[in-house]
Amino acid sequence: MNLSTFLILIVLIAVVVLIIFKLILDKKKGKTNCGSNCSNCALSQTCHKKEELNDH
Amino acid sequence: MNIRVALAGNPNSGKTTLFNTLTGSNQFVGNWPGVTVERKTGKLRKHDDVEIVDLPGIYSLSPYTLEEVVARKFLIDEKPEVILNIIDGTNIERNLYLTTQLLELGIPLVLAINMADIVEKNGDIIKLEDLEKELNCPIVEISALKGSGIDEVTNKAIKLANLNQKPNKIFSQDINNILKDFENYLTDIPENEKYWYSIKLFERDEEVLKKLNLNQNQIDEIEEKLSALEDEYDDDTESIITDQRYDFIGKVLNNTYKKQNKGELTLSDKIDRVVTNRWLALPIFALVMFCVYFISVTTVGSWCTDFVNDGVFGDGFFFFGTGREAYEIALEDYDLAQTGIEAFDVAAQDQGLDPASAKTLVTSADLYDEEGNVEEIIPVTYQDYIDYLKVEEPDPSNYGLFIPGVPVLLQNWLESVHCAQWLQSLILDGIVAGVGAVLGFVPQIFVLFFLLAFLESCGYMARVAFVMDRIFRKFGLSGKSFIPMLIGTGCGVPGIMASRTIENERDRRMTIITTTFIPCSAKLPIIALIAGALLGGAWWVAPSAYLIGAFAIVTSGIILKKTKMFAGNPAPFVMELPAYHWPTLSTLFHSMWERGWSFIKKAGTIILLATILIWFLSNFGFENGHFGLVDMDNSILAGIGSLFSFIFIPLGWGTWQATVATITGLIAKENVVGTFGVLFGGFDEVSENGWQIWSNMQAFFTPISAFSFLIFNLLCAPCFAAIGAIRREMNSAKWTWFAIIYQCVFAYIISFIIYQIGSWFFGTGNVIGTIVALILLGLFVYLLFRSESREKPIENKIDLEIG
Repeated sequence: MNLSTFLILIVLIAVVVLIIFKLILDKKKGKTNCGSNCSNCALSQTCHKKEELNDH
Repeated sequence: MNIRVALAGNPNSGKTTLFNTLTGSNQFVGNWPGVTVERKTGKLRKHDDVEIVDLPGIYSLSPYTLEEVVARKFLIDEKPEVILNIIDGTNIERNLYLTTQLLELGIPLVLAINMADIVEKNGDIIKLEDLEKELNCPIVEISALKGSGIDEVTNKAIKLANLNQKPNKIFSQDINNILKDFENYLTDIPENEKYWYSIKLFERDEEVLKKLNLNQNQIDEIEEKLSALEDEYDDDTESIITDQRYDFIGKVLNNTYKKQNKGELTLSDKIDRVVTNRWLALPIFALVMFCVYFISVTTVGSWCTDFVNDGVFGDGFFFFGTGREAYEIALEDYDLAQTGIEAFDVAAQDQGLDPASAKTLVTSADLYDEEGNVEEIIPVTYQDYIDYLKVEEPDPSNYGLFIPGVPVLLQNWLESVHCAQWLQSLILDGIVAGVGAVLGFVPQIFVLFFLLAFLESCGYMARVAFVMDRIFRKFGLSGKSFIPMLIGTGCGVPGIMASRTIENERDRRMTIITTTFIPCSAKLPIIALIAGALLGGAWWVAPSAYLIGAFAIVTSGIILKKTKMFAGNPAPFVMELPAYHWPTLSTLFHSMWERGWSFIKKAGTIILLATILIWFLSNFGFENGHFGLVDMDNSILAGIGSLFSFIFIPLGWGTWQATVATITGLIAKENVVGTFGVLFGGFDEVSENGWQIWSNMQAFFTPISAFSFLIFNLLCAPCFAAIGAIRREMNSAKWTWFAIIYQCVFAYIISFIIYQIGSWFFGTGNVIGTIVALILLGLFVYLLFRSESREKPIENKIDLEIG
């Protein structure tokens, strides 16, 4: 594996880790991954707050 | 000290629009009632100590609907410092009904008369000073949409916060005397709240009675007084209160309000005569939805998507198109030359000749059209062959300012830094192909959202809910079920959540089960892919997807209502139709951007991760006992897909690729397209109907199996996020499983029938399959038309008193 391949791979892994981290963080904050975000929802995050409370 | 300003008012009076203006937030605004179900909070701009609470729209403070419960609970239990009551100036009489109740709470109130611009345009006159005196509260005329009067109303609200407010007493003397008596039972209630509680005792409000915890003697005394009054008025106490409120409003408005065109039909009324007409309403709605999908998927959206696929995620594009025409002519000449060379080489090889010296050889070359059909046959002589060899591949940069596409730029860069071949494949064939395939549909998504936002904002969708109530009712569903479905066109999750407003549990469950049949934005790329790449860009595919969703809802409604589990009359649905208005461009673009941006974010997160996983699983596997890079057909993904693919053979697409795409669609529906992007490597323009793509895909799909695939993926279980929403709203694992299994079985049967019967039109019909399909069709028709469940349905009985 040459240096450039190694560096590109590291960047790619970092991106993947960041995305996973962000998804977990969003889940904890009660944000959803649905196509419309919560500000477009008639219930505006209240459903996810409830879910968060249930989780704890 | 913090000030909480409660925004209260009737449904669709403009509360959320005002809330967004006051707080600078982007809460969803829809021009139909019931957009806000739960309360929302935000800080007032430039006032960190002022919190604005947007309450759901209500008509009264009775605890009958979820919205009323939420709003009343906040106003009574959490006692905001001030109420900002927003009323629709074009419908002042009915809106003041709630105002009279809010003024009894003992909380300072500012009245904001919204849509003042329309009131003025209609020539109506509101004498503000007189109205202020009559209602004993400050009044400001505003336009939440245009932003006028906003500063004045907020300043007045802040100034009024925490001041003592005496409740307005509007009832007749005898009733006020009784209310005064009742205040004696309210020893623990603060002085300024006693009046409201006494009215609730008068109305026999069960929630309040429970909360006050009165002893039996007190309850008997109250009941005795109320019964005596009811005999005197020959009416129940709730109706007496309602009558007196409207009497008061009538008297107040006689002196303070002058309507210019009393009794005349407004423009909205005239439009409604057509669009809600008994016979025309449904064809008009079908036509409107056809236009929406035709424009967004087949025409405008498709042109934009082609640009993104060919340009941004393809080879590249010419800046403002300059030079493209000349380049395309040169490219055509080059393609012709290559076809001629290939044909001459093959012919020479067949005759055992060296093409460079086959001077007497004459052959022919087939030229294909965009759909892969032979368009023309041209002769190729030796001289032509020599001439063709001189034709060089045109370099687009010689014809104008050419901007290479993302894959080209990335590939050039990766090659220049000597990146390993497998990593290049992961980035280009995995991530760029997969994510690019999904992002290619962004323009279509944006056009669709823009058009839907227009229909919502102008007021048409509220009419559709009204029209749908009439139709849904016949099929056992309430018009209330339409609002979740409307929201579900954006995303199934909020659509399912919005079903909370349906009080009847059976109706709510049925709405949850059927809401995701309507294609959400994530399913649009699947529709566009199948329509564009597999069905020759047929104009009818996208509108038919929407209609099939509606068909699935209606037929499911009929079938389920006839079972014991769902039997019963649908819940009543009351709504008012807002006046039509032209939405502002900023509102439309804002709504479009909010929803579209979520789609883009999803492509950059979940879809990206999924494409990496799919690339890995489709390129790695065991071969000759060793794990490593393998041919795609021997990959782990092929193994997983092959395990389940037999299930889909009767639907016409029992390949591991299609099976895997369907399974990955459970993560997010866009993944179906992303997976195809990865699996059919070299796809750089999945939505275009180029014949090369067609020939790539026809190994896996026929037109009818492609349509069957589309139908199954539209109707089967939704993505995990939506399944989670179903689980939360059903609050039962049993019902969640029922919903998922019902959706999958329904999708399977419909796709099976379509494929098996449809195959006869393509000359590939199967006798046994068709017999089974006909039996299933018969069973389906039987379930639709059989008599109702024997269990006596729950009925909403209304006692009528005559005389």
